[in-house]
Amino acid sequence: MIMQNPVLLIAVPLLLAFLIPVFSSFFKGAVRFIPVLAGGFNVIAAALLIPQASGDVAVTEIGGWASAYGISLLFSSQIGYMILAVNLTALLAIFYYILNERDLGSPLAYPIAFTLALSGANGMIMTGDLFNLFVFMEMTAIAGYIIAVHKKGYLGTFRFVVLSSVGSAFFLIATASLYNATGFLNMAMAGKNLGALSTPFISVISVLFIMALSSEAELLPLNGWVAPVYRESSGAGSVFFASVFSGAALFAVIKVMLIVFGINYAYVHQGLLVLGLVTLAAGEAAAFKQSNLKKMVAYSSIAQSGLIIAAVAAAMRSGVLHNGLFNAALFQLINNILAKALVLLGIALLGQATLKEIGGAGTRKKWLGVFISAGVLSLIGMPGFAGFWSKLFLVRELVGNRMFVFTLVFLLAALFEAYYYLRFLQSLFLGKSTTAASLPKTSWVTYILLFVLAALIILIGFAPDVIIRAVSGLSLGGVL
Amino acid sequence: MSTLIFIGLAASLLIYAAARLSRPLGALLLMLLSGAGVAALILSWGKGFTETLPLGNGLELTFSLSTFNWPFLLLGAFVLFIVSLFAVNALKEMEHGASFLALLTLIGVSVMGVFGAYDFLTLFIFFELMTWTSFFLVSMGKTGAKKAALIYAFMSMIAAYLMISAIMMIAQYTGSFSYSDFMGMYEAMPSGIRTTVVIFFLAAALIKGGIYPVHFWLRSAHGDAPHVFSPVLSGLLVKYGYYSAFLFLLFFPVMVATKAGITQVTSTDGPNFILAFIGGLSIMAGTVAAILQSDAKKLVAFSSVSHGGYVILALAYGTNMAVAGGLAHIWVHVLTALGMFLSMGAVAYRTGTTDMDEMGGLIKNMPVTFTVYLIAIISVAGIPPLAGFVSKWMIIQALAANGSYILAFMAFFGSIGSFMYVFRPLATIFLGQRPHKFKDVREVPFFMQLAMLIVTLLTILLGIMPYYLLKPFTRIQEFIGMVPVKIGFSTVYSALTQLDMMLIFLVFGGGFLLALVIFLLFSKPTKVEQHEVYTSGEIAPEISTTPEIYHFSKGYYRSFGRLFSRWPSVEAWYHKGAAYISQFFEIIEQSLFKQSINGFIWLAVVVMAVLMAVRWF
Repeated sequence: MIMQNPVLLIAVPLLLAFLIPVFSSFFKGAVRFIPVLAGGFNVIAAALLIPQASGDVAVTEIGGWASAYGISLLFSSQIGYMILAVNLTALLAIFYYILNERDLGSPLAYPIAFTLALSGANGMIMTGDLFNLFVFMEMTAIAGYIIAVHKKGYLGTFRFVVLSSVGSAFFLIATASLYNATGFLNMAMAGKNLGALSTPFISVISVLFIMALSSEAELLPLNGWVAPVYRESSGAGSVFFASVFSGAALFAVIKVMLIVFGINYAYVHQGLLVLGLVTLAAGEAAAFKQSNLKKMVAYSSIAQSGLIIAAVAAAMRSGVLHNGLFNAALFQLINNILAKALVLLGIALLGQATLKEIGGAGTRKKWLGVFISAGVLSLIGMPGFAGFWSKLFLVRELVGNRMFVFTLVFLLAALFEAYYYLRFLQSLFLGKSTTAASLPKTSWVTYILLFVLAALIILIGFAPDVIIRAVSGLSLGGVL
Repeated sequence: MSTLIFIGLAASLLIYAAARLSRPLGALLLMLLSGAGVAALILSWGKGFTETLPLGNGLELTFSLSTFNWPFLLLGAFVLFIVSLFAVNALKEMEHGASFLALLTLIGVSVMGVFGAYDFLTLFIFFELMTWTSFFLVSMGKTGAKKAALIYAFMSMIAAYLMISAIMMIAQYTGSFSYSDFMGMYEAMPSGIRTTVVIFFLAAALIKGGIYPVHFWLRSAHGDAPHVFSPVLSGLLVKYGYYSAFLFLLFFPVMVATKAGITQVTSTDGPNFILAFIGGLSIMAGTVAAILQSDAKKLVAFSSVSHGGYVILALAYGTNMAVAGGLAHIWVHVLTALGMFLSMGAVAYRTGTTDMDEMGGLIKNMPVTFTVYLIAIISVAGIPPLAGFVSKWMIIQALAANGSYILAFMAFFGSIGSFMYVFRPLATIFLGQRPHKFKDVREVPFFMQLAMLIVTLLTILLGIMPYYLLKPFTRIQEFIGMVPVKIGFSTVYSALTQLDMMLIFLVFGGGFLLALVIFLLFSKPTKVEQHEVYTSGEIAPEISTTPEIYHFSKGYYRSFGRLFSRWPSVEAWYHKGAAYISQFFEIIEQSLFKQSINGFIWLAVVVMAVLMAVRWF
């Protein structure tokens, strides 16, 4: 069956993106549905691929070149779930764009950007080749620039452009050096040949990689763009940034760390662990003070990236891979993608920017309020929702592996996170609005989309078995 | 039990729908459900079971019903029953009444889960369920409630995280979440882990139970929560704290000794004594703070701090008499908290305020509410012949019998002090001069009266017949292998003496009858206007007086307040700490996320240098 090839997840959206300008000269109105086509195709294709994939990584060679020399794509059921989550949220964001924001900005640029971003994000998740990863990163970044200016958010976009270019430069230097030293661009092969290199060289390369990936993955030094971009971007745009881009980028970081550096370089993971924890603490601290909702979610998103990266680094730090911790981190990542998308879409649908303005909106739009609460309660890890289990597993693994400092930082951060998210819910349902403006209309299609996400979150909350089996029943070889 | 939990979840939706149609209908449904719970529990007296609900992947939830948790489950069902009965009328004008009832049903689910749990994971899950549902319920209160709810949620989350850390340490060591595995392996655990687990769990329990010095969330949460929810908060949710404290106190040295059959403990052991002392401090701090409140509900909130102190003091003290007294005091406090909060809720329902300085003379308007309040406070103050006397008598007997005079003093301090604070609402709300604006206040509707009267009746009956109050707890003592205290139908035997409540009741009743007879035979009452009481029926015409100026309700204990004005306030420290944290967060955001582009590049350079340094140093 033709659907069985994972490359289609990248190629189909890419092709559709390039076809958009052609189409637009014939059917101007129909152009906006092309991203839906791409997203829909990806969701279906991923859903069909997952049952066929085993826990072990299947390598797909592209263009008839043998694996180590040509570009190869990795696919396992775990990667499949990741792709499903990312594309599902992207599809929801695109629906939201069509229903609510299509008159915003150019009718041609955004469909192209969305479709291109899908292709790039899937590429980042699946590729097993360093330079190819760079290409996909640039592709998503360029799509990201377009999406970020959707609502004329020039300042944030400018920061994003500069910081992500800096990151790309680091990445290119690191990749080139690695290629020079090992002779491979393939992650697995480069990783295998790393042992022959001198330790200072490896540590410099690793720091370069960490810096490079930090801009896209919202980690500390280069994540200054996150808050302004979230604040200024459109509803669909913010979902793309929070769920699609950051999800794909985080997975890319995890992949590079695991495949290239593996478990043998404790100091790489030690550094990453510290960076992740600092990002977690700083992100939650900054989010705590925000009254602008999107900025609040932005900082919280930064913090969650820090948490996930720190957990992954901690899982690899001691020379053996702690499967439990690693899987808990991936579980947290998938939960985060789903819940953030739900919350950001909800905020966008209410059309209000700050805590005060949103006051009482949840009682005027009951269902929307309920859906947002499902997302928020999942984010802060309350029982009955998906996030509870991922937090529980994280604590279990952290305490089980005696990482008490990590546990302390994590729980303190979670404490403040719970505080500001609960404050948000309180304002949503019980506050008094300061603006007299009426809330924008919401169509039933949107409600169905939100319902799907919320139902998924609650389903996992009541039957964690579904997702646990997906992310954790796999052997070490199955991780990537 | 797992079926019941799913029924409860479904019922919360049903009750929401019903309450959307009509509030009383929703409340009646909840009342029927919780009433059925009370009935089922009473019928299942003496029975027990354990059941497991598998979640897959090695996770499972275990529930049990046994002698050990029976009184607590009954307590939960009873409080919800009374409160939903009260809510039939009381919710009529509340803004989010339907959501309120739905969330209250979820609280019922969490009761089943917390008290019915037979493993730590279940305990934690339902603990957290309670956290977020009660957060919303508190938020629905008056002006200050939002802030109060946030502080409450924050403290609850601290408790929850302490708890989950402890649970995971246990799980790592025993390989399961089950209580029985923990109990079996406790002695074999490394002492470091053992101490940490117990300390974490007790800290969580003290926070939940509102014990000094982590009590401060109680003031605002109890005070500003909706009037219908305050009784649940104080009557039920702080009991989660007492219950989990009790679970872990079973491993404390004195309790271990008592469980081994020693009935007289002559000296208190270190950890027990520290905890008992914290309980004692809580009694004193709660009492003093309660005296100084001018808001009736905040006053009751601090009385909860003080009563929590009694429970912790007694349970930590650990002799069989003290444990029985402490456990009985939990039930006593349920009744008194319900009585006080419901009557204050009833007053607020009619007058719209809980500020005692504004009120006065409502006894004629609300005689039933007055009676309920009166009975409740007699029990609070530990005056015979009511239930409050029995438990306090037992606690103080236990302390005195072993010569712990400092702790006994603390317990007495709370008893005497409570006269002062419970008298304040009595004098300033029900007695004294009635402001003109409250002239037309009427007694509360039928269901509210009914709810309050059930509580009052139980307070009296359990006082006269302490057998029914104590029997469940002596059975717990037998269950855990402790020598149970000796009780008769109306008598309790201590090491020093014995107490016959029926006799006391008859003496009191006889005295009351005698006074009534004298009053009816010999008094010649004259009817006067209410404020003329103060001027012997004559008002000097040259002074223009209003009734209010004779009312001593404003600043009732101001001089007493001056006595304590220089005492250190824990709450002030917390406020200061919160301000510092807030400033610190601001600095973090400014320096890490609000840089210019140059700043970010510099930041990147610094991070690179640090990462490299991690490698080389």
